[in-house]
Amino acid sequence: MQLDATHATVGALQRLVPETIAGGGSFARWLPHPSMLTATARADAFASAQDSAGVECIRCLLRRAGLPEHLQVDRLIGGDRGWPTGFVGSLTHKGTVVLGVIAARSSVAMIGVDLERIDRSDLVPIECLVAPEGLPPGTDSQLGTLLALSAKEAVFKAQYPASRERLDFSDVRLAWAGNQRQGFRASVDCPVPGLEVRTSFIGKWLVCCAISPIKTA
Amino acid sequence: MVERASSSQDLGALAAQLAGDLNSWWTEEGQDWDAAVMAADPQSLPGGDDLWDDMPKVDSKAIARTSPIFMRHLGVPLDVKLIRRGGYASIEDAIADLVPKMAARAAQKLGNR
Repeated sequence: MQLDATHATVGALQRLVPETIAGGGSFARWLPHPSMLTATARADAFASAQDSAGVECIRCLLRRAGLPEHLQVDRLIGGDRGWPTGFVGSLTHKGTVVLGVIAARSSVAMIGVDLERIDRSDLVPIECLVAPEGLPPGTDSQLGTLLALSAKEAVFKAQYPASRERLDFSDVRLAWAGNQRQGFRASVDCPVPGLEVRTSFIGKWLVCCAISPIKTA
Repeated sequence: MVERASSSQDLGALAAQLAGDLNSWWTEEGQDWDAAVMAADPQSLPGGDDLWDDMPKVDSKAIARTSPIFMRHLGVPLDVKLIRRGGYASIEDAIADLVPKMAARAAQKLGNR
C-alpha cells in the first residue's frame, strides 16, 4: 500500500532539508476507525501498520536515490539503521505519519529527523531537564520545551552513527534564532561538531532536522 | 510525600511503587483518548485520522515526561540515555526496561553517600 505523500509534513521536510531526498506520508487510510476495534486490537493494528509504513517509506527513498528498492535497512543494535554504504539517512514517525530522508555522504555528513505533534501532554514539568540552556525566544514553556525536545532528539539521531554515544539532553546546547512563523533554527553545541537544527511548524505538527551538510567552496 | 530509600531493601519496595505509579500515570494518559474514540462518529471514515494521530504511545517524549515520577520515588531524575531507541511496545515493556536500571542508578547513589 502507498503512503499519502500529500501530507503537509512531507512538503515541510523537503523544504527544510533540500540537500536530501526526503519523503514519507500518512498511513491513516490503511487503518479502520479506532472505534471498530477493541483496545488490544487497536494497538496491534497500529503497530503493524506503522511497521509497514516504515518499510514503504524506506523503499521509496531507496528508489529515488537510485538504489535497489529491496535493500535491507534494518535497525542495528544501537537502535540506529544500517543505511547503504555511502549514504546517511533517518526515519521518524508520529501518529499515522512516517517521514524519512536519505542523502549521499558526499552531500551530507550527518542527518537526524524528528516529528512531533502539538497535543495536550504536559511538558512544563520537564522544561529544565530538556532545555537547561533555555528555550527558543518568544515561546512559552509548553511549546518551547516541545521544540527543544524534538530538536535534541534529531541531534541524538544525527550524531549517533558517528559517535556511537548516547547523549543526555544536557549534553546538547542549542542557541536559537528565528520565530514560529518563519521557523526556528539553532546552532548546536554537542560532543560531535558540525550540526545545525532546522524546524518547521505545520498545523499541529512539528518537524525538526539536525543536519551537517558538506559545504562546497 | 513518597519516602526516600535508606537501604537497598527499601529501594526494592520503592521500585515496585514506582512501577505502580507509572502504570497509573499511563492509564490516566489513555483515558481522554479512549473517551474520544467512543464518542467519535464511526462514519467519519476512513481511519479517523486525528484520533489515530493522538493515540498515546510509549515513545521517548512520553517516557521523558515520567522523569518527575522517577525523581519522586528514587530521588534521581530519569536518565534519558537509558530510553530505548524506537520507543517501547507498551508501558509494561518500558517499566521492565527502565525501572531496574534506574533502581540500580539510585542504589549506586545510595552507596556513594
